[in-house]
Amino acid sequence: MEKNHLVNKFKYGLMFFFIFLFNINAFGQEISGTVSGEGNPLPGASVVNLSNGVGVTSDFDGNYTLTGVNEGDEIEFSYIGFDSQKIIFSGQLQLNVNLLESTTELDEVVVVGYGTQIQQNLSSSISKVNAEDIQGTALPSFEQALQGRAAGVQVTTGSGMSGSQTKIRIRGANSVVASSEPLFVVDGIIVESGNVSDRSNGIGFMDDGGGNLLASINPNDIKSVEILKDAAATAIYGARGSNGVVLITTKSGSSGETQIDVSMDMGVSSATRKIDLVNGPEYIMLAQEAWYNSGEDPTLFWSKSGVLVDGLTKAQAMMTNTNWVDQGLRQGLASRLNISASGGDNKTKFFISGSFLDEESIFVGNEFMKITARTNLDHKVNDRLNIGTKMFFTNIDSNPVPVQNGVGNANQNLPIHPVYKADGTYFNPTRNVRARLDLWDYESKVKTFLANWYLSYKLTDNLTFRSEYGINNINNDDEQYIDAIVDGNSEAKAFASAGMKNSWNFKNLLNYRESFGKHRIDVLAGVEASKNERKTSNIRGIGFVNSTLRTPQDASLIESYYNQSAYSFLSILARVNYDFDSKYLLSITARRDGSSRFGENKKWGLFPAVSVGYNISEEEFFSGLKNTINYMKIRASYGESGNAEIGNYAYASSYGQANYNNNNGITLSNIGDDELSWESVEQTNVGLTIQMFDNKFSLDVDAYQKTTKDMLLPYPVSLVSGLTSVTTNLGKIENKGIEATLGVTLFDTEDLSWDVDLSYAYNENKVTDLGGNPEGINIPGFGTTSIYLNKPVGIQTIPIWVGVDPASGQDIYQGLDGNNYTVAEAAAQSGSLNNFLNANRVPFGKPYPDFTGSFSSSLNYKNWYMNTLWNFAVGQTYIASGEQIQGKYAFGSMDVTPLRSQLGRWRNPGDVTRVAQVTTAPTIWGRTSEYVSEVDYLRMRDLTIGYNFNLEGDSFLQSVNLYAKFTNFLTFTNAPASMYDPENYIRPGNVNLMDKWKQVPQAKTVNLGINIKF
Amino acid sequence: MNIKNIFNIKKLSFLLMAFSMTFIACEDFLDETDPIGLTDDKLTDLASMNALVNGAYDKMRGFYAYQPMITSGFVRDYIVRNSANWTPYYKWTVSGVPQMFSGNSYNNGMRALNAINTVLTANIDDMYGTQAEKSKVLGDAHFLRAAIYFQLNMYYTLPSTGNSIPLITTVLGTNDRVSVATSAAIKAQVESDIEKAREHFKVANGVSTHSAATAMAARIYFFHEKYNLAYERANEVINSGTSSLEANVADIYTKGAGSTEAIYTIITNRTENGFGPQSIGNSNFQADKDKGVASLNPNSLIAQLRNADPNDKRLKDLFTSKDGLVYVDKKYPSLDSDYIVLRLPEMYLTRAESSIMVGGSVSAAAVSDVNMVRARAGVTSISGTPSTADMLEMIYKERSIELCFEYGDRFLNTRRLKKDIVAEGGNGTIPHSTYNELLVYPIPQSEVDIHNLKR
Repeated sequence: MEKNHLVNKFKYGLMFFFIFLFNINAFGQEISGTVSGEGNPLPGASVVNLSNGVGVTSDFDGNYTLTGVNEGDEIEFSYIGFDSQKIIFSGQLQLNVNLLESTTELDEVVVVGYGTQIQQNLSSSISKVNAEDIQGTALPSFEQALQGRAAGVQVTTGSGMSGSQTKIRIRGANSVVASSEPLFVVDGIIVESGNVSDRSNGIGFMDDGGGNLLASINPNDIKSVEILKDAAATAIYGARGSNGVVLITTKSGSSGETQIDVSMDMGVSSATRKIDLVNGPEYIMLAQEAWYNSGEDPTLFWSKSGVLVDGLTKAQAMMTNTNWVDQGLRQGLASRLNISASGGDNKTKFFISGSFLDEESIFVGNEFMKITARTNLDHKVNDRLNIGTKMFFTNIDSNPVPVQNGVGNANQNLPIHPVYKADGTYFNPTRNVRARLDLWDYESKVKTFLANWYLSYKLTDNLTFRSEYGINNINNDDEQYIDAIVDGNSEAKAFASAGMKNSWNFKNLLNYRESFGKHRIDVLAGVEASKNERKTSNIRGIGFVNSTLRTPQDASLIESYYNQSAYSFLSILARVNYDFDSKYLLSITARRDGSSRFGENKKWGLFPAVSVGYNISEEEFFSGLKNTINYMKIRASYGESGNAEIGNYAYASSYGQANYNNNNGITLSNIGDDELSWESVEQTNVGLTIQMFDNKFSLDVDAYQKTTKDMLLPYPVSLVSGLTSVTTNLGKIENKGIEATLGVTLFDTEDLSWDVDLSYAYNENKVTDLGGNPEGINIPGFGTTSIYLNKPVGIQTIPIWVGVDPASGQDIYQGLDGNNYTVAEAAAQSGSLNNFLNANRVPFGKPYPDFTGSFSSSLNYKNWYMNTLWNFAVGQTYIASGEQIQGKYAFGSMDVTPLRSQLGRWRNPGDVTRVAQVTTAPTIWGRTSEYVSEVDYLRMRDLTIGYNFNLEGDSFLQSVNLYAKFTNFLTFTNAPASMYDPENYIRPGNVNLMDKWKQVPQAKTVNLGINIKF
Repeated sequence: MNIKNIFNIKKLSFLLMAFSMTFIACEDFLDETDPIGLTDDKLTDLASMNALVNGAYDKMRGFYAYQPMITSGFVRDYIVRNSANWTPYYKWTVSGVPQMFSGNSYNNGMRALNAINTVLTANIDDMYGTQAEKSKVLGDAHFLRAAIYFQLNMYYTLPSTGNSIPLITTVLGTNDRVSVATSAAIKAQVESDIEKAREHFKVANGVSTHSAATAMAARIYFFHEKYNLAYERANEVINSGTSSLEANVADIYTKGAGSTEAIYTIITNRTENGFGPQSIGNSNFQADKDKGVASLNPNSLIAQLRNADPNDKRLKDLFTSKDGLVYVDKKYPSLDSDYIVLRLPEMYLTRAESSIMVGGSVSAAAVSDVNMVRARAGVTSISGTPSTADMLEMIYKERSIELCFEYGDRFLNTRRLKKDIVAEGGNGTIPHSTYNELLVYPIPQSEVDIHNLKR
């Protein structure tokens, strides 16, 4: 069995040691040669004569010499991470062996922070996602393809917009306002993630999410993605590790013939769902009913209600039936091309790739073009010195479109309003969805350069020194223009923004590996320094003499804005991995992080972690069970990591510019705190790994408990201090949960193989401490959002809506006193309905699903294959506030189209319904539980069906593969018709998680692709 | 085992060198200070005190931003077309005064007060500078504190208890807690501040002037119902001759701060701050049926007065009739026009009414003051000496026409005189006894929660 080879190796290694010690030199022949792995010499490979137990290890060039070999002896060549080979000696003088990389799970190499480990010796919690699950993804960015691939990793795609943002929560939300996004590390370099640019800063509210820097990465360059989940795995990233770490490793070349890989695909996309608004005749019926119900004269409806705007006549309105949602959405088209070449020789290996993506998304006007280029080079200078580089360049040229002001405005147009007037001009252009999309130009260009250079020097056989320098440069260039006719004040506006984010990172690592008998030790020590700088220059121009002028420089009014900031980290890190006989595993990690972001008195923090593992199946006493349970490991870890997403200068008090009449003015902009520091997260993890029935059944279970201490909070302070909030460290959040992954191989024959995986994750989030605030804290700037003791972060405080009074048709709300009040009674009690609703709010809602999970299947039959991934999430509550609130009060202003559910309104005494009587009462903006709905879904995230062609032996092609890929193609959900999609990004961060003003549609796509290898 | 190799000097030195490279900068490396913005330890000279005052004036743009819209809605001078945002203000008897826009004056006012109190508690005496330079700063600080507290007190006082908002005259930290002050206590502070502003401005005018402070004092005393002092201050402003009425009413608003009758103006400069009364007023009142939001309520008092005298230039030249609507657009002629908080005609009308309130009878001077305002508007003069009751009613109407859709005088004056407000749709009126308790701004909920405020 493969998993035994390590044990064997050490057993024989030990024997060899004693034999060598007593100098019992055997007789027989001598044999020598080179051991290589995937074509590269393997230093330190084990070569053991199984017949007599004599063994040696290979030198730096992979050379070995084994003496005392007799014909017929079996010689085993083995190396960690590679399949062992056994060869019967038949008198050869030279025996060169090429080992192939191991494909069994236990021997699989797992990338960890600042190094690698094999799965079997791992005692921390790390999920690995392979390249096949990511490449060719039709999703806006590679990390969105991680959804469902790793238990406990919740990934939410921002929208169907090209290059849209992502939200990832690894084992729940640790923070209230500090970012809870994981740290992204590409080939060892901590990279920038998040927005490309702040697009709402320009000339209008975009709400498109600001793009996604990670979308610049080419999914086809990725070899593997490792997700570090527990503290033992993340503590090596210290003050930046607590949200989990996503390690991305790109492909590198291997010696041998150059391989060219070309893949191409084309896809079409459309919205997964659309919201359901009333049509023209329905609108007229409801509006007239509301008009009448409010005591207005029905004969004056058309002349007084205000539904006739921009010269529209009653006759025209009666004939018009516009679907405004369809004015903002369309069928999307995308094409991708990816070419890579990889190869090399014993000294030099390379991987070079280029890709091209051209996409028109489901949003009218949204286009996206991406070009990427990568060069990965590794060169062996001599036995001891290796050098190499990875360089990656991306150029993205995109046209984002506004969301709230685009398709999100669909319900703020009436179905009885036409898109165009008879003369072809836009009808009521300031509200017209189509006019806004057509006359609002946005071009966003971003260039990223991500590179590292390393040298690795073997100081001794066991001690390696590695020095690595990395940079990540991002430049964005945004231009906007909005035509005067869609502007509320009839002013054309232009905007230009240039931004740069530059960071560098320099690290020096020492790695010592040694075995003493069955003891094996791997020590890492290092120093890392990094600095990150960003600058933004914005210029806005308002008012132009001629519509051909579209740059801010030509405007009558020019405004400018400049910002600059920086932060630095200095870190010392160390890790000791120890194992005894691959049975008992111990790992101790510590990182000491200093950052410019922390307060004067809290510059440095220490983040330690320890983990232990026990490969119980390797014990003698287990051997009886081993035929059934092939492998079993138990793991436990405890540690602490931090979150430094605190803002760059939050620790310092500062006055910002506030000029008046061309004189310098200043205003208090931040109240500082010398004690301000990182959030720290303590995490305990226990895990179990089992493989049974000839490894056909595997189970991984992890249970964890995390406590965030010293939460970074915008603590509400009174305006009397000059501000509404200060950043402070206060309180605790707890996340605890269980993750399980079950894998079953149903068939494994030459013609048919079928693997099925099921993953499940349960996480419970609650605030456990709020300092001296026994109940809760209102988070400033987030409306009614509060954090409450013993409730999850992200809930809302809203009044409870009970239903509709069958007698009066009025809404009934519940007071804090437990009594029910109709609207009239509530207004009478509190002076007004607004006052009542403000005074009777309670914490409400479930911002996170009760559980999430996925089902995946991989089926191969002869040349055919079919892979699928289904995701599910159950128990989350959600408020589609814009459509619901505006729809409920649609007739107070007569400029909103209600949802079709309004047709079920109360009409006559005795009607039992959930929709109150329609009236012209003014909008009450506050959220109530009336708008809350529970949203569960089951979604077919991916279905790929493909065929591998049989090629003639003399074909110049190595392989040809054709496939069809369906993304988000099927969705089963109980989401109400007010929602575009049950998968909700909502907003970055962790507060106000139930409530999105205008939801953004998601896309489903069908792609046809071909992959050819030369 | 090659333990010996570790001690190879060459290698060791190479190693240490590489390691030390990252240590070179060490602690200095972690010193990153914000290149933008001033740290609080630099607030030690008159230049920074001036900057704080200017910053406070910038906040006044936001402080006044929604006042004309909210208060004109209270007295139903406009109707709202197609705006779910503004409808609740107009239909306040259904929903109460929402926090949505009213909290803006509290927020900006308190932030401005923080800067002002920083100036007023700083040791200005010891700072380098002339007395004139110091007086400029102090005059503006007292002036703004008076202006802010006067307005907040007017809108936040709960009539049933006489309690208002917290009175803060020092710089408070984040842990300090306060309680509400009585309206009377705030009035006393406002009057003390405005007099101090006048004294300092006598030495040297700052951003605002001695006559602005004096006119503000007249307004304050007028609404504090101290008519003798209101008379004196208004009289002083008029007699100083620093201001004169514009011949053409539309010019007042297009000229803004440059108008001869503007006494206290908030300068609009969109490159500094695009937000303010002019942007709110211009967007909402503009003469465009679909882009604008509010137009003259045909049942309002202003509409009735307009029907009575269609040739009044203030109701003809400043309004636009179009699309079957009357737009009240010319007081906010563009997004760049300045916002005049105080104009000379208010002083004439204040002096006239105050003289009646003090003297108990109508003087020829009072009639002449009102006629000054009427004449400029092309309205026939009042002849003779009307009865006190008639004259007061005439002044009320005059004030309503002259100052409608401006600072908020329409609402404050209607309430001061306990007049009715027209009901929605024109069916009847809403008496003072009903609206007085309802038309009170809500204190922002976060402030109520933090300080446990009870009015």
